[in-house]
Amino acid sequence: MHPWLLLALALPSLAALDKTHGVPPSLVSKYVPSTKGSRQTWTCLDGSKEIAWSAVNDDYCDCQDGSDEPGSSACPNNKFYCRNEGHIGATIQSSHVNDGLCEQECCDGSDELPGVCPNTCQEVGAEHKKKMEAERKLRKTGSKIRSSYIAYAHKEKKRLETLIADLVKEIETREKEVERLRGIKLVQESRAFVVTQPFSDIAERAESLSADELEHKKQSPLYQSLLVHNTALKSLQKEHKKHLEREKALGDILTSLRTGYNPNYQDMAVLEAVRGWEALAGLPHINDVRKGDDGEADATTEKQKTEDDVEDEGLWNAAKIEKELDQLIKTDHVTLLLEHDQLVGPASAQSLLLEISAYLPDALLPSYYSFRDSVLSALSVFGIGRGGTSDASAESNRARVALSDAEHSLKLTQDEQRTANEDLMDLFDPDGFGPEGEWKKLDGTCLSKDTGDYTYEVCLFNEARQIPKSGGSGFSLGKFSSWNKTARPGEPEYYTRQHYTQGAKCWNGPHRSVELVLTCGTENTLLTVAEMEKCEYQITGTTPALCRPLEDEHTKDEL
Amino acid sequence: MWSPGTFLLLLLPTVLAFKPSDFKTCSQSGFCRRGRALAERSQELSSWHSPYSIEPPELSPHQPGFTTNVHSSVYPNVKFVLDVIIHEEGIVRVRMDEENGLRKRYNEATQWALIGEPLLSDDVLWTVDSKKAKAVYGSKKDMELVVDFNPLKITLFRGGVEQVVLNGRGLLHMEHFRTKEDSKLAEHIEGEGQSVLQVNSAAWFEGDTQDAFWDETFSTWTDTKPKGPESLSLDITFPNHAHVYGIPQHATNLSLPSTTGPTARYTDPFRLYNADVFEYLADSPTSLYGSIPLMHAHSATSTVAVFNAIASETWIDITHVEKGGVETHWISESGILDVFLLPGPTPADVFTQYAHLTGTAPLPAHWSLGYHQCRWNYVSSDDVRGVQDRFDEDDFPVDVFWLDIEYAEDHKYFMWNKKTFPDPVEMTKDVEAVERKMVIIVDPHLKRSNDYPVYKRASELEVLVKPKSGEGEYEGWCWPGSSSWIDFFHPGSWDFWISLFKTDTIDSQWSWTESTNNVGIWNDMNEPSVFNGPEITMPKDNIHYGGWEHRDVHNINGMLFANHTFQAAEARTDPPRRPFVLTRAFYAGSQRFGAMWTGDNLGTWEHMAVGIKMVLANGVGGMPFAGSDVGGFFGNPEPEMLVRWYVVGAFSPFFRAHAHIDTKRREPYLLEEPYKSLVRDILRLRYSMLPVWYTAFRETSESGVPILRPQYVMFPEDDAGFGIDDQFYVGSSGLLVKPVTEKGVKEVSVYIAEDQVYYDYFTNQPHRPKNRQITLPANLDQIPLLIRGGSIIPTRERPRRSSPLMKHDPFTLRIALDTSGNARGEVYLDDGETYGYGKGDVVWRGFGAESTKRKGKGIGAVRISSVDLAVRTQVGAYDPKNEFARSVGDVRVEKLVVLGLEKKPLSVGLEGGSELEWEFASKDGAGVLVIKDPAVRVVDDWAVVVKLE
Repeated sequence: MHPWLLLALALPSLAALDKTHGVPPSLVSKYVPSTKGSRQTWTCLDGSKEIAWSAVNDDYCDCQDGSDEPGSSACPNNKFYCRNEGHIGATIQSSHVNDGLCEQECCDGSDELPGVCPNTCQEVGAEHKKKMEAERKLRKTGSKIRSSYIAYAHKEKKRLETLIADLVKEIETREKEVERLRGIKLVQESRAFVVTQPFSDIAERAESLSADELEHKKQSPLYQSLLVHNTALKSLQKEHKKHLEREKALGDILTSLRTGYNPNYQDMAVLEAVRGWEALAGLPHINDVRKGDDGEADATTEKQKTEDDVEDEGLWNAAKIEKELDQLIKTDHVTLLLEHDQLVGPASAQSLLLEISAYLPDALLPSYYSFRDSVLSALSVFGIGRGGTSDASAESNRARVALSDAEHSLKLTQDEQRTANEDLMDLFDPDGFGPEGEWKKLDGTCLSKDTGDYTYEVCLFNEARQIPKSGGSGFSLGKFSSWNKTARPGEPEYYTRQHYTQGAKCWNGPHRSVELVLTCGTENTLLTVAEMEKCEYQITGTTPALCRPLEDEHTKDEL
Repeated sequence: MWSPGTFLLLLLPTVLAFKPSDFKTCSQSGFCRRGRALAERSQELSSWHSPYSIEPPELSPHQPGFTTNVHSSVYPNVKFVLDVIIHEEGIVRVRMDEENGLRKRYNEATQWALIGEPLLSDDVLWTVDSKKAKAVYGSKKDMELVVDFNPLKITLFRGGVEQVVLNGRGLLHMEHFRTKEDSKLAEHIEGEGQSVLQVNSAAWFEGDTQDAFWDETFSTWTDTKPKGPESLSLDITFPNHAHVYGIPQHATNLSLPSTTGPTARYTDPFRLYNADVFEYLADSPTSLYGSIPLMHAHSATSTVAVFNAIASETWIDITHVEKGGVETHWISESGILDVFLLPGPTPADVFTQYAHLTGTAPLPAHWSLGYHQCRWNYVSSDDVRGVQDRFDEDDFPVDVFWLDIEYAEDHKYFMWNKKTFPDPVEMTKDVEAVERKMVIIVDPHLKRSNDYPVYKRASELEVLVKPKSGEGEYEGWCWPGSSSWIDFFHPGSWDFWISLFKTDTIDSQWSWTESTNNVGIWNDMNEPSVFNGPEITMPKDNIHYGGWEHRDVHNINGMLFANHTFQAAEARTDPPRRPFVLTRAFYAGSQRFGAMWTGDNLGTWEHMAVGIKMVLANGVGGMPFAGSDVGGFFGNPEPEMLVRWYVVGAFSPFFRAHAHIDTKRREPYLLEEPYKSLVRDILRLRYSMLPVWYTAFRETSESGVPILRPQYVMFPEDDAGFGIDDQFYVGSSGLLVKPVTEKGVKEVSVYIAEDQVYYDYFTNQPHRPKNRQITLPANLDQIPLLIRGGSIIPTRERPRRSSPLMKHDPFTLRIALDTSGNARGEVYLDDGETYGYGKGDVVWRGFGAESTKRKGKGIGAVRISSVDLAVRTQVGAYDPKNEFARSVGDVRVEKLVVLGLEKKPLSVGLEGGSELEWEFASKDGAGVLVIKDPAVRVVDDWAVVVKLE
């Protein structure tokens, strides 16, 4: 016996600790001494060292792997096991052992020296049971709703399958129709090519044009110019669209600058940009809006707009461009050429009539035009002129149109089938609406949360938005882009997070984005919204879609 | 001719957001321009002499000092008075003021900076002749103060060698108060042509233009200067000292470079004018958040210092002259001349002399030496809880979670935003349940809103800063929008401020019942920062209590805020407990009221590096409880940078990570491996060393010697070390660290001033310097940390969640034997939160290792012992069995690691006891002896004997 042990005894020594104190059940069998002569020894679990049996749980770290101190805090990064009899055993970090605090996880109080922490396992166990019961109930109710979602998905599956079957049939029919129309057109064209006899009437001439002749006509400067104009128009439209998009993007940037900038910084360059944009876009100054007196500013905006409209008179306005430009570009120029040809055909009686205007003084033109129109219509009535419609050309056009319509319909139907197929695939895709299709029901469901200044709206699988209470459409916080990237598709964890990315760009920051964190609940609802980092939102919520039936757990546990 | 301003602009990389246009250069500041022009004229005129002279004083040989009249040959009708006093410890105080002037110069700076009136020396012998008065004093009678009468010049000698010279270059100039009419008249006469030029007899000295006398416009702001010119110019020369240090806060080298002359590093003088500088430059003489007008001058044989107690904007030109000395020129906007000469002769003496004037940093709350986790902003109570959970899941120690301004509804400090923080007290208690603390920001600007009880009450009490009219409330723009500022110079604000922090309601006054007595306070923006003010601060013509203009008190303003917050936090409990207050603005004396940090730094390697120099400079300035934001406030540091920065933080007295609202989150648990584990190890290293840090704080709280000690402080006679500012020692512990502050570093060379063995802290490898260098590997997982031979380092090695949870953990002692086989060290412990240490509730142990050597042989035995140091001091009614000592009676020393034994011991045992368990490992002749659990208590005397023969 060492004499200094007396001194050691004065300390609340841990030497009295049970050698298996803090050892998990799976390892208890390893904590037995070997006997070497009169000495009892023990080998570190990693085999690195043999130590005295007395050195186990003596509050001094001997082993590299810390295995000699399962019941103390002497070795860093260890785990301590508390048995929690009457409740469920738990593992805590060794840094929490003997630190003077009673760990919640260790209701038996074994993490501290005897007498420090009371054993609360009975209460804790009861509490735990209660909690588990409540959770079970929630899960039960939730999973019922969830199974209705799954049923919906199955219904949806059936619907899609029927739809696809119908579409397949429809496509068959349409394909036949297209084939038939192609045949007619071919016949007409070959006939036009073969027939060489003199034309029985003027109307037939157009149809009887040989391909060569059509080609020849197409060389007409007017037609060529028309094509160039058309190309130019198409290009302009394309450019126009590009510019509109750019303008919108710039507008979005400036709008977010306007509402997002911090006036406290007194940055004149930013303020100038904001004021400039407000003037350009006819918006009231944001500081006035913040003060809440934007009424007057709105009136000015209205006035400005009307002024703009007045200026545009005579020219197509934006709405008309939007509506009619496409149609204009899609004009069938061959038909137009033929019609034109009939109208102004070579060496015809009307040529003088049609061209006489060139010789008339401007003042007489209006009366001349009305005269010419009546003559022409009279001629046409008598089958002399080429005014009005030609039956044969109309027939040919009709065939062409019918074919193109049929082709178009076929394409639409095919597209529809493709979409339906895709939807069907998505339905039970673990990466889409979940392995059981449980999320399909929520596709496009919009949830919102009012936080005071803003309403946050998440339309599931679509878009998240921030809508200011003060009015305005707000910002896109991003479009649905993925599930939880840190888990694998099919794992329950995978469906607890949704990412919405590439929202409106923040001034001086990233594109807005949302991480939607979901848990099982009986309702589809948003609970909290927090901007964890600039323009990166974390929204929490519940959904029955995550309430997997309780049996799942049991099977899993058994596995 | 190019202006200094454009030159500076050219130097600035355009990517930085520092806006030079927001802040004045010397050339944009009227009085600085005048001061520099005065210095230029003095160089151009060969017959330059100071116009100031004094009347020979009447004094008896043993009085401590004298008062006499001063005359200016350029203004014979203006009266000045000079006061020269020698105080205890040989500190010389020189004061000069205008007598019976039109107005009064600000003379209250020392009222706030000093802890009391310095005691007069009773050990002086004056002699007066027709030209000078001379005082001889000091224990060795080697100190001499010589005051020359005409021109006035004051010189401090030690051992016959000039130490400090005031007005040696004739740049002393106290602009007297004048009326605008007089001034106009002078200008008018000037304009009349050459014949009348001689009428302006002051022109050779003051210049012939009245530059910015009566108003001054900068950008869109006009300073009305109702008092006219009142600046103060003073040259201070250190003829025999090649290095000057101090005058924090500047992002520059510790050894201050020249601002004028051929070796100038900068074109502008160093400026002291507390300012909120957005994204400041990492190498610049521009002013920053705090100002301490204390300068050390150092040579291998002497250290002296000057404390120029002035509170107004001050510019300091520094010239390292060829013959080896340093000339400095101090140009201040207002205030009396009030200069203290601190005679040294060693750095430690200067620190203590300064501490006796302005006080020391008190022992901080122990928890505040742990790791602080901050961010602008943790956005909700759940966010705070979530961050805490993540720290615990990953087993990172942390003591403090911080809340920046967004906790406050509409930035009305104290008022919780209940949407995001619905349960502030519960949240705080959840943090405190693991013995952690919260620090919450309270800024000095008050939202001007009558639904804000703090503003409302301050307004009713009329304790808000006034605009230049002297009536009503000054209104400026800050975080909450339209704001007003409490005038802490107003005594009426003091009790009011104290009442706000009470956690229970008293007399139905509003108080912060939604906080706890443990909450620490963060005082930010106290320069003060005013977004729409000139240079982002308050107009200089604003009016404070007593009618003083803001210009007179600007640099003190921030200190008063922290001072009263400290008092308020302390007054929450009875008996009081040590409060924690962090301040951004500071002045001489601020060390008494808590910690400072280096403000809004950038996440760049340059800022990481200069942060160390700034903390060292703050230590020189008497304010040791300092740190810079780990990771940099702005930007997203790459993982490598963040890991290195954590090392810098772990070796700073104040250790906080902070980040701007626009940055990505970067709490250490978010890092990928291996970075995450590296940071965990660094945090744990800091926690294991808390006994070292706390012991160092005890020492500085007494002596004023800084905690981080640069080479010149440790080895004042070693010339080669005077410029070194990228490595430092921690207190007297013997730990020497050189944090890596560059990317991709694999090894570093540590400068060693002595022929001594140093041990690698982590590998125990002994090193002897070669060519004064020790080269250490410094990969990302390695920290260049050495133990100086002869030191004993007490640590607590068990990882815990927070520092209070370590209270009962055992100690490990690293005993690093010096070349003669000896070592010493100490550990100081107390309850860490009360003032019980004042009555002797402490444990203060000295550890020693003494080797017995036999002739011609090596070490025969080493005796390692622990003795009571507290019993030797007369502090309080110390009793070894005091209450605190009893509360830690169970704390063991669990392990002794002896470094430097050349061979395996024969036996190791307790003195008078039996053999202990031990292991000895030797590699390349470097032996490490580990003694297992001697089962001794830290509170007891004990000795362990290692026998080698």
